[in-house]
Amino acid sequence: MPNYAMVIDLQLCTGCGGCIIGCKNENNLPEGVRWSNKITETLGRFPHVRYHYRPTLCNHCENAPCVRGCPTRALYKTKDGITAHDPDKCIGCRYCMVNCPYGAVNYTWNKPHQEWEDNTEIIPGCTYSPRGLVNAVDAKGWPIFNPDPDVNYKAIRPTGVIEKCHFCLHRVEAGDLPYCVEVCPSNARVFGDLDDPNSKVNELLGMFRAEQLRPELGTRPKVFYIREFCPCAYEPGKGMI
Amino acid sequence: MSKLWFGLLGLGVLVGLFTALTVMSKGLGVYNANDITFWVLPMAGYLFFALTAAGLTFLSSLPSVFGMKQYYPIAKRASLLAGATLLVGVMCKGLDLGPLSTLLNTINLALSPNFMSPIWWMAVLYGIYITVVIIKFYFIHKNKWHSIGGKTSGLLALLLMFMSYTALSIVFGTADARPAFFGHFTAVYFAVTALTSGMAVLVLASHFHFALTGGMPKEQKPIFDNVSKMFLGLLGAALFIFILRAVIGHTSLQEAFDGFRHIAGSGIYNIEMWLGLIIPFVMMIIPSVRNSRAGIILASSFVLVGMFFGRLVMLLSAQVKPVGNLAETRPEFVSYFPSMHEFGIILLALSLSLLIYSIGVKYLRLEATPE
Ligand code: SF4
Ligand code: SF4
Repeated sequence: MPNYAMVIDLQLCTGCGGCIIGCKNENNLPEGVRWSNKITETLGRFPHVRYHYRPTLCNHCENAPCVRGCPTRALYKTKDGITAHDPDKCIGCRYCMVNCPYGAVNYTWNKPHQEWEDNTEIIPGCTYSPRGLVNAVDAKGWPIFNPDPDVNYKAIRPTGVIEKCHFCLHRVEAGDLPYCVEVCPSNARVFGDLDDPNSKVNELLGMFRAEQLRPELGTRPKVFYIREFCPCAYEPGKGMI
Repeated sequence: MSKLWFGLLGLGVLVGLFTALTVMSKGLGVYNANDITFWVLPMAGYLFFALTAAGLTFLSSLPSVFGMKQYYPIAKRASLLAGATLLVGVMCKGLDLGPLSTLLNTINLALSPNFMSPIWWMAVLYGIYITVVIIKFYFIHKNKWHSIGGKTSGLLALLLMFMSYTALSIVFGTADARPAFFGHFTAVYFAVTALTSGMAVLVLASHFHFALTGGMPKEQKPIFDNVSKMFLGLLGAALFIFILRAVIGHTSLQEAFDGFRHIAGSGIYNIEMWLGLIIPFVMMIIPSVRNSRAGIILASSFVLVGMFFGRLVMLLSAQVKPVGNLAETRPEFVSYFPSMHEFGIILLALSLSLLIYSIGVKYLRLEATPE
């Protein structure tokens, strides 16, 4: 069985946020919810300032505290090492939100995409109302509804349960790449089998010193970061006050 | 008890029920909760009532399980109060899960259990505990204190109290991602504060009862003198634990404790400290206040208000500082103020528990002891 992991090459990542948008579209994410996200930092003191951009997502931790703490096994590990979620078992206790150190879990507080239920036409008789548009394109929930995740998750998760990244389990099981990997315009994301010594993931991990988020917690994250975008150079010297 | 009192409680229950039905139909979007502060006032209500119930269960076991027979006159009252607070506590937790569709998913606690999950143990143990507490009260009420059923249910209630309280402590204790829940120190904090709030409820309820029924029976005076001293001792212990927690929180180098340090400057923290601990402790030290009905009613009321805020303090300390990528585009600390629906749930819990107790006072002879 594969043990899926992801390597993100920060030298290739341009910080365009295409992964965030792609994920929202692919998984019908409601407003305010991001499975694919980012951590940005501005470091240094003017005029020596630098902006760091790090794309984030669920780390599909090998030792996932969210899975350990879930009372009904709504969060579970698939045979491929993906941390997946079953909304039909979820009791909404939000203990996974307590346990995830990365902020990778969202709770569905309100009916998803409810802003698309509005019947008001912006220009009466001329434009569609949000609901009118959804109906006109024969979609569910929102106009760009993607039914694909229904295969092994709920395409739109119901109110009152959590939702999270599942490495696009519906695509991976069909032999495709997670959508964030697919849409990344600079190929900064590499997805593959950690247990296959010849996988690209292992090739990169053998080549570069990889970084994981908060490894000291013992969660064994499976999203690795390599390299850094840094065109900077400085003149070396001894000490230099 | 006056019709007005029951009318007020009925109104509180009705308003609360309306809130509860709204939550069950619309979901938790009616709370001022979000992905940063997700365990808020209803969860604080759960902690407050469930831990108070633990303290009350312990106090009601003093004569029957620990052989301290002089405390029989408080046992039945404490037992009813334990049942009432436990019931509303569990109700608060239920109304903190989600709409009806989510509540129906709780069947998976039985169908798909995860024995590694402290939340699973907590849910199951509290479910059994509440049943046993009701059975225990039934035996006491039927004056079958010393029957096999009475003894067994008394012992089981105590045992289940310890087990469910332990599970609850582990829920917070094992949350490595959120050190500002204070890890396993929470177990000690919960134990002492649970006993203190349980004692405060018992003292308040008893003295109110005596005030309404024309005074404390003479033979109970020495018991309540002892109870007051125990209350003072517990308050001292709670204050000590509170100080210890503050020292840990303020001196820790871990960034995660920033949330605690932030909350420590807030009004709710000061309410917990001053109203819940320092003022009542000072009041109870003064013999004239300790021995006056008004003094003790006031002190115990202060403790309960403070302890309630303390539960919220504990929850928010570990939440106000956003974690991981949730910190993006958010301030260093988020703010929180409860919504009307959250207040409605607390109103329901409070009115319902008071209603159960008031019915008990009126019809169930709470001062009864074994014949
Ligand atoms: S990143 Fe969070 S949600 Fe994902 S597996 Fe790890 S603990 Fe669970
Ligand atoms: S909210 Fe759902 S997925 Fe998360 S721990 Fe509770 S039951 Fe499990």
